[in-house]
Amino acid sequence: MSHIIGLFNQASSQAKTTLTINLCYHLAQQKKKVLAVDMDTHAWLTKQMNVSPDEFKTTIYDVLVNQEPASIFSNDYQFDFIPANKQLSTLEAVLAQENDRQFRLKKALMPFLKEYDYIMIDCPPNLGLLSVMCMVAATHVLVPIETTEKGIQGAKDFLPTFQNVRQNLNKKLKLAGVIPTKYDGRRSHHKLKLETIHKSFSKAKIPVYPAIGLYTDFENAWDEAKPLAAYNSKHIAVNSLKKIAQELVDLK
Amino acid sequence: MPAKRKTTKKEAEDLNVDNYLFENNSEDTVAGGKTVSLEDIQLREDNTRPLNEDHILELAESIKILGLLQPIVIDIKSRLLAGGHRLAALEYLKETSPQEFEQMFPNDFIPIREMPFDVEEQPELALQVEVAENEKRRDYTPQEVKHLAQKLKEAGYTDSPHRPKKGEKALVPALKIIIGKSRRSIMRYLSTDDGGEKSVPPVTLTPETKTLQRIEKDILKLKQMFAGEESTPEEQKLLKKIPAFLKALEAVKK
Repeated sequence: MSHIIGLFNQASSQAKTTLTINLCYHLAQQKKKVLAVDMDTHAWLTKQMNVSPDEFKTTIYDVLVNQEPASIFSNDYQFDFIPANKQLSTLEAVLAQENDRQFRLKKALMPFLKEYDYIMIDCPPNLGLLSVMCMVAATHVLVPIETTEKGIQGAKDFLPTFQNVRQNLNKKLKLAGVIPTKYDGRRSHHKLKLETIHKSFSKAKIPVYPAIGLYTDFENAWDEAKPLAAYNSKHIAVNSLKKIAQELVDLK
Repeated sequence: MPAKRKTTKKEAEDLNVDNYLFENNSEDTVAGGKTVSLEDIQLREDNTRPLNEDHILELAESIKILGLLQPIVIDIKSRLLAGGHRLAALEYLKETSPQEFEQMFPNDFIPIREMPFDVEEQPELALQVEVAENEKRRDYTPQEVKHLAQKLKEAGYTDSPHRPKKGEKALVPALKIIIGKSRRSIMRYLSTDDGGEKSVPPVTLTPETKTLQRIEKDILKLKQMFAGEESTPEEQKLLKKIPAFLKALEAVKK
């Protein structure tokens, strides 16, 4: 059975998209069939695939609103993706009357479960319908948390939502773990927040993955629309990313 | 004296993640409306209306094709307030077509509308809800009705003026149940051209046309009066001339 993993934190710029792309890349390197789904209205993931979001004739919007079969696109890094564009931002109003709206993404992904080992969903940074759709469709959530107060606040807001989705919409949803991101070991604030993450989540037996540092090469790689390992395979963060991907492979 | 610089080291916070992994104490709802699991919906002991089996089967059939259009209404303790037939239809569907049911209601969650009271404490409110729910459903626009009809036709429902043959499923009776409107209203919805209001040819209201309209109305009234009663030969004579007169009148109006 394939794993559907949503990368979610409702705070913005927690490195969700960066992680989605990099983890997809490393999973694909391990010969897994991987599909990335862009559910963010900013369509960052789609833009990183080297194509302008407006060039796609069908996007995730058509899939969710008109219930059309999803068109899959491939990229240079051996994983496929379903694109988004800014039209997605109108979805909430359009679907407001539909009773099954929270389940649309889950239904749309059903045909792909056999084909793909991993479906990675890049969630939007809010608690709206799109996020709920992601969590209803997912088997696991992975939470990137920036090692700052903003990241911690995001995690605090995330927890009741997670609980609520489990109670009301998706009993089987699991918390696969948290990934501390943008960590700068020279700053005491970051150290303190990393400690908070470890203390809080380890106690609840939720895996805390190796912290991903704040490196300029992430931005350089982004600039060239490449995963970090494709930009600089010897970069120190590549190992951490590989480790996280390995943990996902071992996920039950 | 200069203020002393704070040197106390801050302690790492504990987010109490444990609290959120199992029990749910929060009353919040997430975006996108509420759902509950089918088993969690409880029937009320004093459930009022008896269920009609044919109605349940018809509803089950329509839910299979169109989904649940109207959410089921429950109180804060998940006791059924309105939608007994829908609930029975869902249970029937789950039993007879489990795969389709799972497709339609993943994870067994049913769309509901929760009324903010406890039916045991305020039983009179329950009756109000039930009545309101059965009297006043959501209104469908002609476009929506047409769209539903299209989906039903695709699923094998036939639209013919005759009695359906055995095994055949008739469109209009199904729509009657789904949207809760009379046969006549449904036919009207389906016959409007662009789904909008009925097209009315523009008429310029001059005093002359107004008078003509009034005469026409009165004559039609007269015709009805004559037709029912035993009428005198004179009246009969007049009655015979009415259609021709109306025709001439129509021609002038145009």
